[in-house]
Amino acid sequence: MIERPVERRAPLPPVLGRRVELLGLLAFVLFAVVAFRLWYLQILTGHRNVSLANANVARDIAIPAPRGEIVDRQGRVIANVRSAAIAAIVCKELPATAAARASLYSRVGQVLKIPESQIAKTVGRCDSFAPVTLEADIPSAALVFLAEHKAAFPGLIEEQSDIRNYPDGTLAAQVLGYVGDLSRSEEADQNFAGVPAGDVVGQSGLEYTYDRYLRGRDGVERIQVDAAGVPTGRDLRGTLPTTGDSLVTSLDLPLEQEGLRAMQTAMHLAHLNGYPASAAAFTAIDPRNGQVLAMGSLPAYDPNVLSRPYISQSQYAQQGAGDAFINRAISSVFPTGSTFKPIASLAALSSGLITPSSLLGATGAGGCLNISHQAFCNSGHVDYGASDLAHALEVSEDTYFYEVGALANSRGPLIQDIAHQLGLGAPTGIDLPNEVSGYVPSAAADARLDREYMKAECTHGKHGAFCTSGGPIPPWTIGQNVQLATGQGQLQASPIQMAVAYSVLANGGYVVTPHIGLAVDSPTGKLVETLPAPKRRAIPRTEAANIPAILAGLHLAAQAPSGTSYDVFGSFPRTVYGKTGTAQTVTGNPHDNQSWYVCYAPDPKRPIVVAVTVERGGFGDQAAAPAARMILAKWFGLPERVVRGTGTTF
Amino acid sequence: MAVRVLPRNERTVSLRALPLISFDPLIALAAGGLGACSLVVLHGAAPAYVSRQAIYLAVGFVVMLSASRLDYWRLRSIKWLLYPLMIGSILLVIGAGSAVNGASRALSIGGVSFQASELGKVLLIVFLAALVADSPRKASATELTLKVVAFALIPAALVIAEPDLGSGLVYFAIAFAVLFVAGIPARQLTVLALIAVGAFVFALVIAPAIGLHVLKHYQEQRLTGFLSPSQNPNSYDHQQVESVIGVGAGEGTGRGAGATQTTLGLVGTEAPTDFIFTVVGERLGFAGAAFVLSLYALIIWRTLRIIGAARNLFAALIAGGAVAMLMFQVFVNVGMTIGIMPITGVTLPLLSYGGSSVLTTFLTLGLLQSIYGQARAASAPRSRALRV
Repeated sequence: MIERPVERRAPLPPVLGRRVELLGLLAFVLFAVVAFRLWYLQILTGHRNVSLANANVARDIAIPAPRGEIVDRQGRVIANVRSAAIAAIVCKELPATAAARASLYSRVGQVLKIPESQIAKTVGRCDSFAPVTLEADIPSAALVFLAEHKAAFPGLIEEQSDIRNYPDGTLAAQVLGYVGDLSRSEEADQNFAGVPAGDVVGQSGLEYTYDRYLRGRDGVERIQVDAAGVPTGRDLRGTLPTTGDSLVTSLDLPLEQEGLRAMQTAMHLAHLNGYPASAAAFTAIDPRNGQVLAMGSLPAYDPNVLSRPYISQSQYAQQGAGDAFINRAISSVFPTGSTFKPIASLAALSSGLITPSSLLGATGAGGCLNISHQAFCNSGHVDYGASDLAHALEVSEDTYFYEVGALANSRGPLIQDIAHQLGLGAPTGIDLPNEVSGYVPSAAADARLDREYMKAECTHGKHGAFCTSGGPIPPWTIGQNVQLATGQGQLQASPIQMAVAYSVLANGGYVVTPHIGLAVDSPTGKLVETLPAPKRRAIPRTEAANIPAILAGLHLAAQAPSGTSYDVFGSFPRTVYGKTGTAQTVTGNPHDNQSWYVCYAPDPKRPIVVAVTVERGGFGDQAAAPAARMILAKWFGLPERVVRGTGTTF
Repeated sequence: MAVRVLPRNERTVSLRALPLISFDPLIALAAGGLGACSLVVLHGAAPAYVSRQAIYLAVGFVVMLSASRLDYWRLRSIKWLLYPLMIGSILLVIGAGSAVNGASRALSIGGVSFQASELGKVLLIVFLAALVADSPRKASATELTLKVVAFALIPAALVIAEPDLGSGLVYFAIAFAVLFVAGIPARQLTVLALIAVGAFVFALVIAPAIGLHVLKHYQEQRLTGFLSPSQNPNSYDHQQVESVIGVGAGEGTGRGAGATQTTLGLVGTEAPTDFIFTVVGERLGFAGAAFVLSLYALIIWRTLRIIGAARNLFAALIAGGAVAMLMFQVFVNVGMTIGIMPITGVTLPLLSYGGSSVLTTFLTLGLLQSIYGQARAASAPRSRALRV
């Protein structure tokens, strides 16, 4: 028999067997305890637990997050929230029958002064416990009535809620935008990804662009409901709403307010001169970086009204009268008139067509120039004689630029190329929705429009009016280039585009991207994120070298005795480079002339470019220029003075 | 009598002598059954987890089979490698771990998060077993006890600091079981138990009273909350109240698929992990819960048999540590879901979703199988002690 080796191991403890038995006993006891407890829970009291579990359904109710503030560059509030008494409907507590609901809506509508159909529409999309707001700022009489007759209004609740507030009313309305419920159709918008329908979101302007920062994060109130969906009154752990972050803008509130006054003044001056002046827009930007210091458009709506939970048809129509929803500083384009001349000048100088001392535009008596059998005349048929560039800009001599336009035409789209380079004909990329491109006419651009017309209107059995003539736009002629050089004709640009183009002159050759959003702060004022400043694009050095000659002309135009806006800016105590513009519109009626003024005031610390335009405002010097002066005076802290202009050049 | 010292490789049974299947089929069967239950329950509660858990279980099963073929005896000689490995991996997690629930319990490696505290359980079992088995025979029992307690205290304290209170308590249970199986006098074990109770009373009652918080606030609340279930849904025992209702609602045969949705929202995101037994209870009822528990009982019974049949102290201590780990986790976890134990965040072996927990459990079972296989092979000619 083989003896097994004796191993050098610690011996097994003598008590091992006993201890294993003890462990087994412990395991037995523990399992018995667990089994008994399970028996008790599942078999003996299982039925009670079933009803408790059936009651155990958590429902989430969104608690809307207060919207973040919009503040100006100094932190002054432009938009905030205020507490208001609101009336809301909790859908799950509404009467069961359609007839009872209709009767309820009718009674609620009478108290809140909302059409019954509107209530049905609002409640229609409600499918949860989250109350849907019917109306805000309920008068106290109505509140008292509702409180006293609670039983008669099942499902209706009144509470205090934070709603959007714009302390300055119509000020910068189109820039700020307004807020409203996220509609089903907007849900596909990437800007609102992850936001449930019915949440209040930015509908336009900065409220739209920066909605993701401003909207905050809704809180959740978790309530327990039983199997029938009736709340048990037990609240579960929820989350508090997170207030939206604040948007710090480049806007300057006092300048914005002055801009509004300036536009109103410009329209008033135009009225005094017999022009209808139905609308106006302005923008002021920092030419170094494109920060928008102020921007405005009249007529304007009141975003406080637009942001209400309910707005009647007539209120809406009233707010929108005169296309008030349109931000004319970026979404409307107009012929620019003579404010385009510096751009034509840059093109002519850069291409070597002229030098600053070239003498052009000599006409003789009558002030007209014959180009291609067509007479092109100075405003008021003034004969300025042959001028150099500076003088031509100073007096806004049209014949000088007619000749430039005629010379350029033979060399191709010289002026158009420079205009595009300075940002015309394409959106500037400002951080606001609905910016438009405008139009820089050229043979190629016209042909493209014609092709698009033919494609859209002259195929698939459609027969548009211009199909036989190859499109609606007549063939390119030298006359159109002559018109373009003076900013007349088909040219269309927005005030922001003109401000960007003049910024290139002001900053020595950089095309900036205008922008308003600078940074995002937490509700407590801590910096969350600095919004990246858009890049600026340099124009070629050889072109930038011609800028001083143009600025010299613009300075004379604003502040030399024979300058077109001397009567407005001659007395201004700072250097100004400015150009008037008076654009003929398609109607050809002088009453419809667009009044423009675009200027640049240098300053080592706070340079500014201002563009003002007044629809049907008459001569640039008479309506737009005084407004521009008011804005500049405010920016530099100079005494406010309305200086009327009498200039009648284009 | 002269002792013949044989060359090392002859001391243990050569692996070649083992039949191909040399492990306890009952343990393997029970483990497989629990794994299947895990997949069934996860399928209803959190379908997204099923495929990953299936992979963990499959890998775990292979780990168990591989470990059963290993010679556990070799682990004894590398105990001084195992201990630093355990401490190092825990420290690594604390240092560089990804924050889950504000706690640093896992280390993310290539998308798979690794919980060092789980692997630490089996490493601690082997280390303490080797430490005790290798201690000189003339060393006093007190000295041995102090050594074991000290070596267990370090990883336990680190893990509790992670904070993973549950795993830390498992470490203490392992140390206690190793001493218990090693035959430490009852008097010393009583003192240890009293110290443990004293530490708990200090951490939960005395220290908070004098403004010193050894445990985090939520840990204190969880540990004491089960004693007085409150109706306040914001309290930490709220989960437990809902869990008890959910288990009870399962009644005899369970509420079937879908019904779990009602309590799931209330038990929260921990349903697939710490509160998996709630889902078992609600979906499968008393029958299902009893079946799952009987599988655990089977594993524990077989492990106790392995302790008794072990041919050396090292093997007996490993099996003792393993049984303590399994019993502690099963009882504390299940007890938590049925409201008789505090919430400590201990996983339910093989049922809870999670790779670290599943693999650690299978590795432990593999070691037990290795012990079983060698014990059986060695005793086969003479004894039928281990016949099923």
